[in-house]
Amino acid sequence: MSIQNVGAVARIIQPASVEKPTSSKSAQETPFAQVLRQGVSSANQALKTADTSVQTMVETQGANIHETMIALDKAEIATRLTAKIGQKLVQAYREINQIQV
Amino acid sequence: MSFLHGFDVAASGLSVQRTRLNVTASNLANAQTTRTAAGGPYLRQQVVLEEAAARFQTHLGNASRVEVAAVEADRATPTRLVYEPGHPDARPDGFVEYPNVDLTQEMTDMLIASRSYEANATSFETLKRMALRALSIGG
Repeated sequence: MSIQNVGAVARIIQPASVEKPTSSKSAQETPFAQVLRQGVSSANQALKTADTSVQTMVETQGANIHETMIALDKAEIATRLTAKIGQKLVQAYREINQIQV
Repeated sequence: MSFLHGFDVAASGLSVQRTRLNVTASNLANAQTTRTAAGGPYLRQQVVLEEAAARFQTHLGNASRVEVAAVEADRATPTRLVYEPGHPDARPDGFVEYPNVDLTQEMTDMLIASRSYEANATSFETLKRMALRALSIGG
């Protein structure tokens, strides 16, 4: 578990509506960190879509209520999945930390 | 096939059933309309549904969405003729053409559309429950 992956975890725990910082990407990313980054960006995208659809629902006064609810549910699941992955990473890091030298 | 595509499939079902209900409501509201912009009485509208062409076949697998192909007038069923010589829209022989809207048929269509909507909503909720259950694997 490298330090870059912990950095990726810290970005997950931030509110997902914040734009993902791209300048702090390190040159070598492990494949798992890439997968994690894709997961976070897709969760971010789902949240943005949900925001837009809520705004559309307010503007059109509830024309497509079910589509808004479905977008919100998708965003919720994507966010929960990302948070869960973050928890698992931190847990694994702690366990490795506790290995006695 | 991921959960998110399953949600899209359920969402398309919900939209389509709502369109069907709108068309049924329009038929019921216009059941006695003898005058339309195109001339002649209102004709009962029908919704034709089709399986949407899967644009991303490799992702969707065998889950296909549904779309409204067309909303067409029913010209096969004959219009009702009622003898009312005093009606403003009466034909020269005294008959008035009323729309071919059958109340029983429309109420049945409405019931089917409403139950299908509930079924699609249930399938969506079940998918969501499955996804959340999967997230809790492993504690």
